[in-house]
Amino acid sequence: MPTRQLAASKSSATPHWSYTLRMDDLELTSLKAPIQDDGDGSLIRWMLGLSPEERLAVLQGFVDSAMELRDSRSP
Amino acid sequence: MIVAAPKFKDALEILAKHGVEFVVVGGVAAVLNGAPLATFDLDVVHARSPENLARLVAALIELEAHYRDPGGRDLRPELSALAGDGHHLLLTRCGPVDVLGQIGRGRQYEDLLPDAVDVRVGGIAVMVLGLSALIRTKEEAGRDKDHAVLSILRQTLRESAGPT
Repeated sequence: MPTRQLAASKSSATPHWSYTLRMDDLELTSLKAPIQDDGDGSLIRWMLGLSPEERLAVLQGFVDSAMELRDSRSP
Repeated sequence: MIVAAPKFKDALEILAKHGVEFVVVGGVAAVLNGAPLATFDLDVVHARSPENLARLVAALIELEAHYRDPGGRDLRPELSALAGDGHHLLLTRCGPVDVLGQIGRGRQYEDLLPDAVDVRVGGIAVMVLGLSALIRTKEEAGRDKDHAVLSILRQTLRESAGPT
């Protein structure tokens, strides 16, 4: 079964959701994908399998990672 | 210019807390509909009734919203400007938020509402433009950045419809 990591920070009054994409999330959907799948199909099906809140958490996780990278490169 | 990190859920919660009537469009709407896209700003089309404009201004004050001004001036959105058709490209303490009077071929809040779906995010209900309408407005806008995501949006729509 695909596993998801969806966790709220306990340190903040307002929980901030984080989401980590794991390889086994994609494993089953990838196996079902047609051979000519360019990769987007399995990713779309994986996203469609999430709740809207989980989808937003995926986006937020991406943004947080990008901002972390930006901050780490700042002088 | 230091840009606050986007916090989509926090921004939506503040808009909802003030009772603002709006429809989420753009990249965040695409993601909420299941499209695997990335975006850094929250785009909303707001109702432009006097009551809603007052609620929107209150929410934008809490969000510490100001225009993304290349000159670095501290320009705050005003109710009279928000009553128009224009696009208000703002920076807030929850990241970039674009407040749009209309999108596509002059589609306002009331035009978009029939094509919006009620989505639960945390404890709040948010109106989000559906995929078909999102595709239509991006086709109408016709900008390079809109064309760039149309393929993914159309594929997401096909996948969400299930096997044919």
